[in-house]
Amino acid sequence: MLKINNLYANIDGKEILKGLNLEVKPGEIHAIMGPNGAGKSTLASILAGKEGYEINEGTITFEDKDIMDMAPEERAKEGIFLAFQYPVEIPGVSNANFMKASVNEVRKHRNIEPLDAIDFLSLMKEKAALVEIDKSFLSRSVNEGFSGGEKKRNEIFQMAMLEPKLAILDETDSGLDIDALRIVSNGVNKLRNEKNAFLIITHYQRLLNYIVPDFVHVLYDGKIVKTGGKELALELEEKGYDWIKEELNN
Amino acid sequence: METQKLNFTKKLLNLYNTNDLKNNSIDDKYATLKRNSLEQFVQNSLPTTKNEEWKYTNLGFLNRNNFKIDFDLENYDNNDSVDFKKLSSKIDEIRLENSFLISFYNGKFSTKLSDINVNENEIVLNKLINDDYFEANEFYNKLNIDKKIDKLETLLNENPFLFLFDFLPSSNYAIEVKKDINKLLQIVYIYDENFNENLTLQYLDIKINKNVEFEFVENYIFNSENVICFNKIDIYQDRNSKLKQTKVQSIDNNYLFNFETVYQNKDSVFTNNTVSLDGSFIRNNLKTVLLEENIESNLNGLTVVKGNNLIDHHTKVDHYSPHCNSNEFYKTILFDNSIGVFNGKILVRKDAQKTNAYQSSKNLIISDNAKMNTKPELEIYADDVKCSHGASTGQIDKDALFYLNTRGIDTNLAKTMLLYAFAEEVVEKIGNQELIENINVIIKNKLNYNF
Repeated sequence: MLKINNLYANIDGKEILKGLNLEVKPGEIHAIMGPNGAGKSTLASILAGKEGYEINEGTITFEDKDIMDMAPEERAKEGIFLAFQYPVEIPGVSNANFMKASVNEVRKHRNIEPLDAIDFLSLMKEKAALVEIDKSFLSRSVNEGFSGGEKKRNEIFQMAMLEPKLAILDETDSGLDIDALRIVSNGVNKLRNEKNAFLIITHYQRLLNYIVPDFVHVLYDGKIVKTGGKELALELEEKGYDWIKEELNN
Repeated sequence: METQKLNFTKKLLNLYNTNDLKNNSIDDKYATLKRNSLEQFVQNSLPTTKNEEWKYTNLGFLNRNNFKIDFDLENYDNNDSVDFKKLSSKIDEIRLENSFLISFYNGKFSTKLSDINVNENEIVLNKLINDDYFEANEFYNKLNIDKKIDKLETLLNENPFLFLFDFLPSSNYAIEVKKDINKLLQIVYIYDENFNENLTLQYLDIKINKNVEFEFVENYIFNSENVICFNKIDIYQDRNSKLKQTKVQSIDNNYLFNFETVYQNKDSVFTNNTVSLDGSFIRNNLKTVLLEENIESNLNGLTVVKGNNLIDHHTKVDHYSPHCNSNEFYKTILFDNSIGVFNGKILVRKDAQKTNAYQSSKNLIISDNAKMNTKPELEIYADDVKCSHGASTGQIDKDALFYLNTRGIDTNLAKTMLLYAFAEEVVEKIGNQELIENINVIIKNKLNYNF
């Protein structure tokens, strides 16, 4: 589904990604771990289509389409979803209106009829239950006054509403307590199927106890230096990222 | 034929001299005052951008535009050529439930287009004829305790247009609200193509009696072009009264000057929502005078300005006494080559201890060529007060835009959603849901913009 080939990317003149390779197939969950500054969030931003990055070399293919020149809204319509690490607050735009516009834009792209108000409301209630969000949140402004945990649950709620093919979770576990972690993970686990895929970017192994990955990659100094199964995450937890550094130097 | 281009003042004088109106006032009590006002206005040229109060506001159009003045004092109600049915249906489109209606058609009060079925014990509407206008002025002038200011000089410097009301034909009315009425008053100013290029003046003297709670809405329907409209309003709020006023100014290719002063007494609350949704030129002067203690004054404004248009809000909140609160919340959205102005003066006099006065001016600029001028002016003479002012002018939040993009919402739609959200923060203060919906229709129309 996703093929990243030899990706080199700069921002503000500084090279962050230095030949990154990654392949994700439908039905798979991939975890990307690594020390701070390795390029994890850069990877997420580039996949979502954020401006400001210079791609010097390499390709990104999604479902056999080159997405490098696609605007973020096009990528979203194609089925790529980014759950932000720091979701922005949007005062004055309600969660309901936001989702209504979003869902109908995606449906329009897929040549499906837009949802009417009633169907939409029941869809929202159904998905809100997945992340244990009260329906009163629907009339609140997007992320305004939300706690960290509520913001992350809102990301998963939006993911549930849009049913993406590839969902990228950018450090979704940062700042979450055990309960929020459990709720977010439950949501993701309920959404996974053989047709979609997840890219879980995380600094800590803890989340991976709840969302069990098929593959764990270590992103270090701008590229993926080691790939393993879920045990690799436990090994990293035990030995730390310095272990990877030493391995590379030898 | 004229070989030289006449400026505004000369055109005005010509129109005035070729008319019989001036002859009617030779014997009246205020004849001298009228003559003086005329002379003062004529001797001083229009304010230029060198004048502090008009610094960002070019009045060149007054010199360039042709205009006429209707000196006939008769209203149109008996005029058979007027299509009252068509006018009525236009008004019905914006008519609010549970309201009574006062309409001014082409600058004159129209009984045919009004709907006032009210009790004289509750509300009184009177036409101010002849010298009534000057008597109303005297009442309000006496409230200006500040005798240090040379009033004439101030007027000349700040707002010479007020002199026009002394000698030009003006539609003057007084409204006195004596009791709580469970209806709101809707005032509609409707102009049509028969009135193109007319210069028109209107004055309202509104008194709200003790303990009364009242709400009124002003709507402008301009189906005309190049009308130059001067509206003056004086409001007196007696003790413990609560007044809410919403002005909806969507005026297309016309020009509007709005001068309003509200005098508030002890325990009163005043809320003004001024929604200016584009027009060739709008200048709003809004002044609230907090005479006694425990008064609350709220001034909210939303402006959308496009093309080469200019919309200017000059507010002044004058705190005389202790324990009063004032809040100003103004937002402007600027497109194309438009110009916005916000000048908010706050005066806290030396006895006005424990004053809380807040002011906020937030502005979004959509195109590189639009320009917003925002200036707070705080003059504080009391030492135990809380006053703050904030102004921010910027562009649409890029992070918010990106967030919406990543959910499949394209940039055009995303910008519209964000601008609408920005505007709604002011609009929701209006309260009346039906009025809010009517206003939102205009806003959505103005924002459906090709970025």
